[in-house]
Amino acid sequence: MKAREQISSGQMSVMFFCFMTGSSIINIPGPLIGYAKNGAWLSLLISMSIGTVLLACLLYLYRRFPNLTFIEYSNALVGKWITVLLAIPFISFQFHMASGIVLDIGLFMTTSMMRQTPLNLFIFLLFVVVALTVRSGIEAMARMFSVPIITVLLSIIIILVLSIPNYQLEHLLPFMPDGIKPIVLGAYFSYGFPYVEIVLMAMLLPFARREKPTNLSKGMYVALLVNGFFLIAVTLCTILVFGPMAGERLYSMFEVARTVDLLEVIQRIESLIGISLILASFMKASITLFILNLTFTKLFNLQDERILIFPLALSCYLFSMMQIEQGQATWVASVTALHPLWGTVAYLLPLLVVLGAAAFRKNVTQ
Amino acid sequence: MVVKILMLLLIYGAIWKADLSKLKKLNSRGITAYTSLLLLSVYLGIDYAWDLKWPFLEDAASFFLSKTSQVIVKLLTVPS
Repeated sequence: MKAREQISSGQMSVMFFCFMTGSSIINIPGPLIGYAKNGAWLSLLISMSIGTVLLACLLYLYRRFPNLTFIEYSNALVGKWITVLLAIPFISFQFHMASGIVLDIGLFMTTSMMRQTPLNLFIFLLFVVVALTVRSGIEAMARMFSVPIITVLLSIIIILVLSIPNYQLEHLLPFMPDGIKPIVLGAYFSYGFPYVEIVLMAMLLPFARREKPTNLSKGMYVALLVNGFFLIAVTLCTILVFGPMAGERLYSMFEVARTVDLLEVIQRIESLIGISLILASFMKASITLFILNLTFTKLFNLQDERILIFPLALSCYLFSMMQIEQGQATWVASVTALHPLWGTVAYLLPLLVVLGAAAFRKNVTQ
Repeated sequence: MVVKILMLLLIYGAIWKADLSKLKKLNSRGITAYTSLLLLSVYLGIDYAWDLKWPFLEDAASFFLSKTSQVIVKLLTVPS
């Protein structure tokens, strides 16, 4: 029998960080500021707190079932048929996520960098790369992702530092002029994207090598904190640069990078951030497709863990194309309004069911 | 439409070539899973190529959840 691939707890934490930061760092700030105005950072703090609670639940389940994925311990705790029932929304949202992440990269490219190129070309080529990456396995992915994520973070830090001359502190006020409701709406949005998606990590955690038990927990919490720090930093900097207009900027980091003009030498560096954001989204798409494939593999109890990758990638590609054929406005509405509730039904609900069963059935072990 | 169909045929050919050797070793459960996913992609592919607007995932989610999600968003939106 082929041994299961394993990665270190550090690599798992890096993958978790890539997964959480991936497409959210480009897509979150604009709509979030649109909802919560200057209180967007507070919305992020609220949703990040919910994310921390979710992560604690996942780590509890991981300690109980260190060698099993979410589908496997769900099978052991609530039985096969309830697991299948829970897996339907679980899988549906993974399809929505994988197709959506790549669609977002394509939309970003066609609206900001390469306007004349057909959208389906970006989406198709990205899915080819994503499918091949997933096919190479989690060990190769974990080894590969460390370098691009450092590049992405460096690019973001450079842009945020170079933008300092454009910051206007008065843009941070007024704070909460319309009360608490916009903040809660912003928190609801950012809870749906990306914090409820944390639940997917329950499928990946068993791939972590058994080192000191606290290593993984520490790494995961640090990854979540750093992710929250970067999301808040990017959101705050967008508000500082654009003020009340920040909510209307779709790809805020890219727009912030466009404003950089230092001594008339350092300018037009938005492509740097553009490439970084594509890299980050690519990593998230790869992890999501990997988990989608793993969910199917565990559900069907297949021996070959890689056979379904290409048909799944093709389905995701077609989902992306069909989503955008309904119009960009429908897609944006789907992400902003439907996404958090769909995520709750698809990820949070199964987690709560399995967690409840785990709490009551202490005698069940792997 | 022709371009879309040609592209899909090319993709199916490439997938077939890549997976053929592994498919021969699959058990019946594996073949069922693989065929189900291919059928899903064929459904989506026909819909995409002929622009038929058949229902898909987003429509199902919208049917079950859009009203509740709109109520939540409306509840939390401050009238301007």
